[in-house]
Amino acid sequence: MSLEDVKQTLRVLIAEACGIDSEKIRDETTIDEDLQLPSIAFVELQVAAEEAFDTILDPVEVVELNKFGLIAESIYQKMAASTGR
Amino acid sequence: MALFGPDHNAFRAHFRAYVESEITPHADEWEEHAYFPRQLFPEFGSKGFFGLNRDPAFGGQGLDFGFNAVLAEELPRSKMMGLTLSLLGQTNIYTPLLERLGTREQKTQFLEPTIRGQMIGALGVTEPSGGSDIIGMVNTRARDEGDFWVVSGEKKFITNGPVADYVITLVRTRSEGGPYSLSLMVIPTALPGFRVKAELKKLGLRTSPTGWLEFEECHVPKRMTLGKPHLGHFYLLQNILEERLVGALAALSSAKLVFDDTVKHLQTRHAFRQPLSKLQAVRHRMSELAACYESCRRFTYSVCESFRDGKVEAKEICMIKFLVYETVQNIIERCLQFHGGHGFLEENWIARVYRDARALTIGGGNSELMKDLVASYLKL
Repeated sequence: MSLEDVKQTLRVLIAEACGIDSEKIRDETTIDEDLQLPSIAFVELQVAAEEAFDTILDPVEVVELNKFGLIAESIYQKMAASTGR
Repeated sequence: MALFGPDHNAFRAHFRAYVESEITPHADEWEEHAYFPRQLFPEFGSKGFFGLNRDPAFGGQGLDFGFNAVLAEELPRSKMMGLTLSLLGQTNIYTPLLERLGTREQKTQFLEPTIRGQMIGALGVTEPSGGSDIIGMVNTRARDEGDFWVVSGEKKFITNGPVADYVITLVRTRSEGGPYSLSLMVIPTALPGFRVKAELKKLGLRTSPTGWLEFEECHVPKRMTLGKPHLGHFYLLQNILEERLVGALAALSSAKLVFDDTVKHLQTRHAFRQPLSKLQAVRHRMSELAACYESCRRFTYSVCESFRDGKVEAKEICMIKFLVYETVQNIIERCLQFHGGHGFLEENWIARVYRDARALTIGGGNSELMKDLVASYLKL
């Protein structure tokens, strides 16, 4: 899966968790102020991300990175590390 | 890899001998007087027990999580669940937060002396209005005044609160922002404005002091903020998983001790011209309890192994928090029944464990909350 694929999949997952249009999510979009992702949505997102990317999504890492682009990059790096690419 | 190997087993033998010779003999007296043995903390620290899996750079031993699991399993041999809770607080409730989130200054000032047992900490989350709805119930607020947070509010049901040298406190630092409005800060209890409003009298856990704390215009330097500001809610949700896991190990160990005592009792107590252990109803019930214990123990070990390897299984830990803790309560309750009138006497430690275990499904996230969380993981 390429970085762009990760972004597209993650965009859809976050949009579903927040109930917004996925097209509104850009690299600079923030989890706290722009999306105001509710706490319980992290559980939903964790489950969905694990299924989609086969990697654990740590909520603390998500909120510390905060920007969509950085979160997608982190997932991509973890996937690459686990597959040895 | 299994949770325990030869090194863990050697540590278990060493630590068990220490607990049984130095602590357990005091249990009846300390429990009767609700005595908190503060002098044990520096002793534990000097022996390295508080820093088993902590960073050697700050006084820890740098060992794997399995050693901490041994500690949690052996402490109940003290026959004091309260003291067990207070000591595990020092290893698995507030020290992990300091280690993961602390600055070098915070680690030097608080983590190192905590590992040495020269300081006792506490974690202040729950308030008089409740604890389950963390985001909604935090009324302890901080006013931003330059280099300081000015903190006012109250925290209640705080383990080690009355004896703590510092309280890692969850504070509202933004008026809006839902889960992004709470911060953690390390507040030394020597700061002007802090006071212990009351030491709470409880049904059980009497060798663990529980506090009602008050902060009145406490000027907390901003450098005492733990982790990034406004993300305290998320740090706590992550941290509490370790507490629940270690708590399950200690709870299971307590249940096993009670179970083993009950087996001995059933073998030696006679009724109807035979030992109670030969009565079919008793045999079946004990077999059921043994099966429940063993399935819970193996489930917990499996999740502990993942945790040791860096994989935090949040859903499974929430399952453990209600399944294992409720099973432990059931085992202790059933065993007390088999002790008959003797089980109801204050002189029998099983009566004490029965009382203490009632807190298991209340503190650290009650069973109802855990089941709701698991349902969310199941997409219900």
